[in-house]
Amino acid sequence: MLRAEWTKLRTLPGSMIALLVAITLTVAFGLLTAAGTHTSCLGGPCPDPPVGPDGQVVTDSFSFAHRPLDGDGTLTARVTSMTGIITYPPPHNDEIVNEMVPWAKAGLMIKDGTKPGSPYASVLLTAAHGVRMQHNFTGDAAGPPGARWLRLDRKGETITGYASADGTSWTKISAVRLDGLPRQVQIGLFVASPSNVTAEANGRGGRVVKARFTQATAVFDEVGPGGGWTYDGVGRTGDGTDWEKFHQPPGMRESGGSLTISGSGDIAPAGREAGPPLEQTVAGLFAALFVVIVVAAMFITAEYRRGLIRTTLIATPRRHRTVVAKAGVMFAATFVTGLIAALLTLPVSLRLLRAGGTFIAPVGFGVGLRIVVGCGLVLSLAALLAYGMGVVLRRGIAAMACAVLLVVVPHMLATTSVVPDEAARWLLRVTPAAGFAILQSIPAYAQVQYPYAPADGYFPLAPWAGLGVTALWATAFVALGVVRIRRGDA
Amino acid sequence: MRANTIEVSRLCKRYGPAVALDDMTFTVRPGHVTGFVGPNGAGKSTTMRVILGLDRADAGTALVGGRRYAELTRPLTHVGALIDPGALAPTRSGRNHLLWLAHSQRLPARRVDEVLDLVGLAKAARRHAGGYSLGMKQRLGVAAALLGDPPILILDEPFNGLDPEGIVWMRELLRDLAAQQRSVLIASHLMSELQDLAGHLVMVGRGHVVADEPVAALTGRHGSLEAAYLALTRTEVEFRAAR
Amino acid sequence: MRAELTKLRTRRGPLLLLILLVAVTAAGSAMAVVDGPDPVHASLQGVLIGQAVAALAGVQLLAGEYSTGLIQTTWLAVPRRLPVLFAKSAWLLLGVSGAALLAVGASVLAGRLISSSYPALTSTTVLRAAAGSVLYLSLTALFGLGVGALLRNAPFAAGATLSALYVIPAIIPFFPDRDWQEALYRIGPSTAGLSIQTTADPASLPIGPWAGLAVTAAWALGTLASGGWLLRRR
Repeated sequence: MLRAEWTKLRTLPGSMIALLVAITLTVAFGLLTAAGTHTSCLGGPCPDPPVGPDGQVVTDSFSFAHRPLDGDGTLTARVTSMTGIITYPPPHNDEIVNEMVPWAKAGLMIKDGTKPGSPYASVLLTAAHGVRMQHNFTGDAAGPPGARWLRLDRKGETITGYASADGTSWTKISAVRLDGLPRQVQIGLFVASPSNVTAEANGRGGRVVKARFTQATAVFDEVGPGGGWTYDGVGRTGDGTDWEKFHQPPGMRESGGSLTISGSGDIAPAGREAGPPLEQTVAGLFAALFVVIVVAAMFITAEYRRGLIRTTLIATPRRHRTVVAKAGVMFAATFVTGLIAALLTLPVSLRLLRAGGTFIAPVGFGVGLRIVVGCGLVLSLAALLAYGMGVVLRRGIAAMACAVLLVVVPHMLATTSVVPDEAARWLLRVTPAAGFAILQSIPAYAQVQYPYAPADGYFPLAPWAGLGVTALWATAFVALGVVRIRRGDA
Repeated sequence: MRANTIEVSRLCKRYGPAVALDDMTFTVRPGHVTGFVGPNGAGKSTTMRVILGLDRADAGTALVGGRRYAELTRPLTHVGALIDPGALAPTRSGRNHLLWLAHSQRLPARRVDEVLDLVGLAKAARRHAGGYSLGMKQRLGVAAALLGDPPILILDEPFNGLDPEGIVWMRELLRDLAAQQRSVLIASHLMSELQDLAGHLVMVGRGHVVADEPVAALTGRHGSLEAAYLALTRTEVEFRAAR
Repeated sequence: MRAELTKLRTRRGPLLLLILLVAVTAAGSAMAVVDGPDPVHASLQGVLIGQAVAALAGVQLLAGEYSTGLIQTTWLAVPRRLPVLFAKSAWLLLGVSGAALLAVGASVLAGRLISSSYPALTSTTVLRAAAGSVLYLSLTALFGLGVGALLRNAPFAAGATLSALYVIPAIIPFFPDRDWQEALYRIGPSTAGLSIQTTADPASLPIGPWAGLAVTAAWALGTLASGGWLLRRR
């Protein structure tokens, strides 16, 4: 039965041409935009942003008072005070306030050198999220509440973080393994303060993201063992802001038994600000989406229009099986279409973008595979939905319209219109457009204060969860189609 | 014996207020062509659609070879049907139309070429079906019906659109098929054609059978099949006109 | 002209489509209302959904007859092609603009009720955005009719019309070059035409409100004219 339906599809020249067109549209769009993209910075090619140990783009800039550590060792300190400034924050953007951003950080760190992106583990106090143990940019664990004392302990490749409220009773937060950590590392105290970021709708569906300079200052005492500190502004570039020039430069001050460190920046995974995400190269999939929706809706409704459905049901009278077999063939054909489109587009586009000086955030093999497979799945689930609609409604145009209204329009409303963010998130949770989440290469991180929004490609659901929502819709419509065709006359 | 009969028993079906089938009962036996006649709207098409599992009857059963159509595996090897010769995808070639049907019955592609030869479409088989004349579509439909070499054939107006040569060919084909001990049910309005061709006649009106007997018996009583038809269906027609 | 009306009147489809148009537009708008920088624009977001229905109403009107074969009867009854196209355009325009008026009216009212920063209903900006949205929906319907006349195949025409309306805004953000983005924005029938809805700082848009609507009108009339020319040649 599957074979018969495949024969049916493949012997319709229109369908096969349309699927080729879908591939061509995706590839052409990807290559065209990639070839047209040129990125350069003042006086030459842009430096690549730092890449973390797990291969993702990171932000790695902070004030670091450090000394070498050979082999195993421990560092303990108390954070006696932590203060900060934010320059010109909303609502009035007219003054510098003595406040800290929620993820301003002060703490202890063990790091494989001072090169941005190198492996590290840290235990730290934040402005609004308590004590944390963080490592290698994405690792984040919460510590006990009310703690001011921090301790970092190294044994081989394992680093353990402790926190305490009084310096006597210690709570272990977490132990992490930094693979391949060399014998000599840098150990010390650090301060970082991420920019104060807000986003505003620009009135025509886009967003303007604004970042304001902030600085944090922390005073450490009871540092043990102390002494021998070298200061480094890790990852610092440029001359610094006016605040740093005229009020308080970043750096380290030792007086008596205490150590005061001021600094800005963040130690965290980077988002799209580092460069366009991978999925941007397959944006042509939107055009392909329309093509497969038409093909899938017609695959069944054309049979109704021409009375061919009766021939089909005479040949294969078990109707539910016929409906499912057709769905399977449609799914497979459109899945392969999306897969081919992605496999043709991604490698060439990436090479073209790289040649044009554009940095595309690298993704791991797993994420890359998910996006390639996701291209196929997004197309095939949209096709399945349109097909199911076709079985239910038996009218091509109506089925297409419903599919477009359910899949494409919510995505568009959520990402490129002036619909408020919360409404947009709900659209991307409950409508079949949720499945586009499968293409998101850069996740949103809880330990980064950033106005993640659908308009920037951050979906409210995890990739496979989003795809699951779409799959549920598609399955529901096919099931409805089965019910519809089993009842009543053909 | 039962393997190639069509048994229609006490079928009833309504479409809303309109009664389509009202206690329709008859049996089609192999060895001769059975004509299925009656005025438009008498229930011929509905009966055939119920036999083929396309429509569901409100009551009664229709069995082919002793089983319900929907229970058949590889149904085209049990029953061949020609319902609507125009039901084709216009851009798919005639050969590919038969090919997907063959695949659906797990028949080899070789069988497609055999039936194309049988109906004389071998030359046109690779052209788009949308360009076929009505006669060619009719031949393609017969080819589809014969694809599974079934012991039972159900054909709706097989003579429609055929040229005189085609009519002769079709007549011979149907005679041969019946002579091979197949059950052949033909719905048609062409009384003169059936008079020569059919051995048995099922005449229906208003959803039930008004005559079910050998053609020879009917012509013996009324002179010709046409006269028999007019006499037997008059009440049905008058009833319709009056309503 | 009468005949076309009778055709429309005697089927359920067209009326259902118009009701659907009102429903999805108003519902979409109500969902989007927010006290943002441009509450008027937000309260008209339902038009993004409604345009699909309007366009399909246009496609269905002519191309739909091709798929049922009814068109042959139509041509037999009225052999001259253009009067049929004109009659269809006129009824389409009347039906869709009536429905659009209801839909946009409901949207604006919803906006006014929900959003506290909404300007007065009689202010020129609100009137322009509202009237423009009604015109825009009507033009989208004509565009669908025109594409239908060009392609004479309902599914393809539906696919083509919807792609033209939705694909361009979806892919604009991915174009690397700002000039390309703005050029596409100015060309796109939906992007250019919907400029009319922006009331906050319309000067920042790549194309002015009325000029944008003119682009949509050009698309509609262009496809209608070429569709009509093709119909006459056959």
